[in-house]
Amino acid sequence: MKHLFRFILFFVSMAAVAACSSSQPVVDPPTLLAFCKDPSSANMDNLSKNYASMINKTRKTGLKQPGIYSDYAVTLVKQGRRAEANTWFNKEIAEFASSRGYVMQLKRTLLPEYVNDNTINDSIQAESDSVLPPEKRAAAEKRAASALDEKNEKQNND
Amino acid sequence: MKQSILTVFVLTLLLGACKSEKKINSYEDIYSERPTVIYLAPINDKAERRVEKYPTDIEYNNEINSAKAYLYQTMSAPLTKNGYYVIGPVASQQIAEDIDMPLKQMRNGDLSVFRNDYGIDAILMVTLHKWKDENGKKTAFLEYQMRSTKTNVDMLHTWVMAVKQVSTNLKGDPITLNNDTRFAKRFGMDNGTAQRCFLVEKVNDYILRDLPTSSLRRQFEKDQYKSANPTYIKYIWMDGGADVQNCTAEEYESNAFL
Repeated sequence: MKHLFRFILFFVSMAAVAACSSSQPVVDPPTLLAFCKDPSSANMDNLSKNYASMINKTRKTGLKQPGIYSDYAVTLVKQGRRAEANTWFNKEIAEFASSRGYVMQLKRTLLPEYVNDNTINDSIQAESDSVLPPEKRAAAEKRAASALDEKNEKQNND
Repeated sequence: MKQSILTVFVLTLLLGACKSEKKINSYEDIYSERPTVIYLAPINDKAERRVEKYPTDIEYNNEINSAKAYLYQTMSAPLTKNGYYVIGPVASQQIAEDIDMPLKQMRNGDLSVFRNDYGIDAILMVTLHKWKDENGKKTAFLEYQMRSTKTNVDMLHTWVMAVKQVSTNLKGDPITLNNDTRFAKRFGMDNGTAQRCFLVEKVNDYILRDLPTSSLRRQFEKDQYKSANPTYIKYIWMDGGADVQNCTAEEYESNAFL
């Protein structure tokens, strides 16, 4: 009986160790395949959600994958969530210095109003963790946009 | 007597090792230019589609389209494993829309706009020349070209004749293997599509994992004297394993273009 208990304890601890040894999460291949085959807005939305859940997983494990934040940011731009997109673009540059060139160019093309805004809102979460109702998200976007307007106005006055 | 046999054996091994090209020679420009940021250009797909008259034509075209998309999406993993920074598919699509460069220029012309505007060091282009089907056996003719945006030189240029062999029963009909069924089920694909996708993923891994370790890694330049892939390759996947052989330019061209 004692041996059986020890065996179970050993088995459970081994399982726990195996669960902790996290591997690099990857985007769901069928979702990515659907987007690569047909980059329609529906497939891009699905991919965006997938990126969001992957970002949340990497946040917990500490593993980071190059290109994921900027890809997520482009999907957010297409959804009109510009302030959030800027934060994720900035996060890509902060995490991977090599990305600066292309991310800045994408910002110049897609988010010209945020080119000089390098802020990273650390409290921001990818959508799958904090599912905001549409009205709250719109309000948050509006607040961010008005803050940016104020900042630009202040810079112009200076 | 024993000693002379041993000497001959060692000499044969040494000669064999000298024959295969080293990475320092095959990827000289990668070691000197140290590219880190790689952009994956859209697949140059020259594979023939069927004129859609029957349901099987539509199925065939779907297979080819899925394989093309899967070829693209599995290009980044082996490069990332080697330490390169690969731009993601959504951002890459945006870049492709913004630059809109003709294919001819991408393959032979000046690429400096990618370096100057986007900070990209190299562009990887894959051409899918043809699919050939014979009694369940699928063959893809691929060409991998990676060009520097700084000097416009080819850092990698490899032609691959990739074959997915299929076991047959006593009647000569193809047998569906468990591995293929599992792969198809995972993606919700039919067996034909799964076999093509499986093949292109394996080839991507074989060709792109051969590139030297990126300069972003400490292991950079430590693989200079390891052997590199030849320029023309015949890659055959059969029952859970790959058999890779050298292939002549004539053999490749006569099968792919004639």
